[in-house]
Amino acid sequence: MTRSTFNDDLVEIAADELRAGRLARRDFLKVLGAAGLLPAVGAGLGTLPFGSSPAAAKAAELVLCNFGGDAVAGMGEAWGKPFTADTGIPVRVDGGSPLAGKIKAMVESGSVSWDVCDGDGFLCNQLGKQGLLEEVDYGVVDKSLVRDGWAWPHGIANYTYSFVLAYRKDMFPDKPPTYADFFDTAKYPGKRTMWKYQMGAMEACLLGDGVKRDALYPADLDRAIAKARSLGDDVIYWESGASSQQMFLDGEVVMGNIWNTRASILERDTKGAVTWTWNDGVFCPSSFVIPKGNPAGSEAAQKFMASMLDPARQIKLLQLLGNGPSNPAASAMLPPELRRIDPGYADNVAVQAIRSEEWYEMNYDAAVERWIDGISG
Amino acid sequence: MAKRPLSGEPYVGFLLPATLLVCGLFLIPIGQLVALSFGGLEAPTLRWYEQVAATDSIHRILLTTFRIVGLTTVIAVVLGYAVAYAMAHMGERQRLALLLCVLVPFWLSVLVRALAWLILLRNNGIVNEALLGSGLIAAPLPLVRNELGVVIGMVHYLVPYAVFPIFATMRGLDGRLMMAARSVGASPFRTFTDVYLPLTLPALFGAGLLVFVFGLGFFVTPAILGGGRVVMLSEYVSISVLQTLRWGLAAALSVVLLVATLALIAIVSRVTGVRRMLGAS
Amino acid sequence: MDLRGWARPMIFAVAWVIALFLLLPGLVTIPVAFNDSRFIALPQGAWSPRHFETLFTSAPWLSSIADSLGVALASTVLAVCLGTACAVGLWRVRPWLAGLVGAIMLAPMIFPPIVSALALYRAWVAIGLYDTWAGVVLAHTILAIPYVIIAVTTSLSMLDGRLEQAARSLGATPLRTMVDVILPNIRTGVATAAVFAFVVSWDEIVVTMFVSSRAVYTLPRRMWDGIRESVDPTVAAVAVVLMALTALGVLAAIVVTLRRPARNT
Repeated sequence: MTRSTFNDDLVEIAADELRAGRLARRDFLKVLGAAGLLPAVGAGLGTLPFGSSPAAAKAAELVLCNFGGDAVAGMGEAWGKPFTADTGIPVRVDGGSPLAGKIKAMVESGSVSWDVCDGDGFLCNQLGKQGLLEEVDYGVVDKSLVRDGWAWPHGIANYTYSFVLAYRKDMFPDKPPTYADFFDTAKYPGKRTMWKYQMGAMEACLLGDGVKRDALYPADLDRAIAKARSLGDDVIYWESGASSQQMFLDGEVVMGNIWNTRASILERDTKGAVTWTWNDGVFCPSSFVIPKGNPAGSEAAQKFMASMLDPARQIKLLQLLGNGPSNPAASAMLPPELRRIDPGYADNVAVQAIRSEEWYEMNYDAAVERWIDGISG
Repeated sequence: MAKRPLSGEPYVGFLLPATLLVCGLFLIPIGQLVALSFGGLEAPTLRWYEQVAATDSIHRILLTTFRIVGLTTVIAVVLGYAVAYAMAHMGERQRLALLLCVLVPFWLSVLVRALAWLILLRNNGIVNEALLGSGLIAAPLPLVRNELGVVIGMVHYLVPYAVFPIFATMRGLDGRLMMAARSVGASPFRTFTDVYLPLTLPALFGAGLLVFVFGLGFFVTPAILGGGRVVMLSEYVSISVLQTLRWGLAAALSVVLLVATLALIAIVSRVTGVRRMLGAS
Repeated sequence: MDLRGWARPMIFAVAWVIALFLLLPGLVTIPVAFNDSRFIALPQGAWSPRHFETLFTSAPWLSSIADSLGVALASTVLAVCLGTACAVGLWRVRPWLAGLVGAIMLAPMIFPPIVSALALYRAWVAIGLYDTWAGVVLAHTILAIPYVIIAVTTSLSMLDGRLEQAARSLGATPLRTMVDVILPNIRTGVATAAVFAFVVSWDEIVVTMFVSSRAVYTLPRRMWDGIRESVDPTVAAVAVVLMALTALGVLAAIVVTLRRPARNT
């Protein structure tokens, strides 16, 4: 019923992992420590500002707002606890869904209750240009830690995710399908699924229509809609991350364009009967932002933003929630079993398209509406 | 009739608490939103209304919405009338058992219901598997992830909302009227059409109105059971609010929805005595 | 009314078929709640109470149940008091006033929940009700009042207005008339109104998601997370428990009714 962006979806995995007892057993940091990597990485990263200055220490608590679900516990564990250990400032994670509209209303009313908010990459420019956000202080936050272009004036990428092609292994035992196969319902009968809200789905349609992955943007939306309509009754659209999972678990669909976090859970839960390919995935950044007038003050929030780029913490998040590090250094030091699930791991990035934040910033609003209209009725 | 001062209305005080609450904490906030639909006070504009008037996709969505909600209302009210009728005329034990059946699903969260319908109706769901297994059909019927699924889910949600007001009215009917009709020789059918139905008609239309406006607000059910290809107005508004930040458009659509609904109420009240539903005597 | 012959059993049969249709999704959730896997699915092998154990041992689920009960009870009481008074007022005041106020009172029901949510969110943040108990209760009260008014008004429309006039002419104040004459005659309507108000609050999700975040975490919000974020069968266990409680409540009513000698038929 409400929007379900990827951010809504930072979820499931943490609790699942905890339930399954995998989390405690596999503390990756210990592995790194044993390998002697941590000190080296720490030195290489230079000045991560974890020391507590008097001003920051004054902040009574810091509220990180995300989209609820298991991301509340996951982000608290990966980012909140170590920050509290470093600075003494307690971090509370609030699953209150910091939709752009809500941030806007809060800032305009002058009563802001969130310090740092989770959002999609291009959103920080949309909101920032309306004057609703604090600028990121790149004297405190090290922009060289993230991929070029993912540090914006009002936000920085703190994790990554991808739209990937998930499929039933028994249908493609030898090699993974392409988006051409995705649209070939004669050769591969069965239903497909894509996100109802345009993102990822549009790219899948264009790729299926012969567009190369480095030529997706500026996107031809009408062409994508025509391609989506060509599937007729063979496509059903998922509207929450869990529903995309459920469709595969129930055997309702044979292929789908879904979030990588969901694909890796599916692979595990189905013992490999459902798997995914990074090939022609769409690689996307989050952006974390500070609403203007945040309660804990800018300084503490900036320090918190900076601390979230720490590789060890980002790797923890990958373990807990399946969201990739935005810091390429973190991706580079992953053990093999985590490389497989990290959308930002170099080999995986090499075969994916990278979402154009510029295109989405300018076109997203109109594109969603036209897409919804195009696929309905 | 000469206008009396309001102080001549002894019951005005009864209206006040609720009216103050709804005006102060609901209508004023909504008013601020409506102001948004005209672009705010600083730069008034009709652009959002022009967009509503000029956009084909919005017209299509309005049509889809009114078609689905209209169909749902008719079905839900007819089913509700039948259940209420049975409940009003059954023995005590049967009535309570039936009441149980109506009340229990009333408590089922709209989310859980939608999931349950998927389990029942999807291609490899319980209903299709049973039909296939019995040899009645050769291929699964498309029961869900389309408009049919949406109507089934919405009717299911709305029937109890129709049952209760109709049942309350039927319980309150003076049985002697019907006995009188029968005693002067009217057939059971004539008694029903000439006496019973007219007496319960206000409740029937009241229930229909309730179900209709309630249906207009639906979007969890269409979103899940429509398979992404049935988009109703509320969902479109939510997209404008949450996905695309077009609050002005969302507000303008809400105003359109409100005006349409009020017009409908006015028309229905002309046709029937439903004005009584709204308190006019 | 007494339909004779085939009509009566046929309508009863139709009613029972409809009842079955109404029960169907609830019945399906029972095996799902008892399935042994971590997914929302029908049990493949053994049935297991594990999802009920999760429900009754996890602090988040329990606190959400408490939150929802508290909010629903408080807003039901408020909505029924305010709404019933208002409906009686509407019944007696002049038509133009009744039409005007009636239309105003229906607004919270007519507006799409998402729009109310947005408007209330902006207002609640501005006046400090955001993420407070009072804020959620007031929001639910506002949303429930139209249902109360409709249910009570339906009931009043069957009441003879002369009853009120008689009481008033004998010198009763409007309040006395309300308590002693009107209320006893619209009990069914008020009870229906209370059920509606409770369900509106109990099942409310859209507005609640907007006006609360951390301090109040109602059951539908928890279920929303359970369904949208993870494929969590605890949600089915919640549904089964709620249905069982409702069934027990109605059964209790049946027992009480049957023990009482039937006064009329």
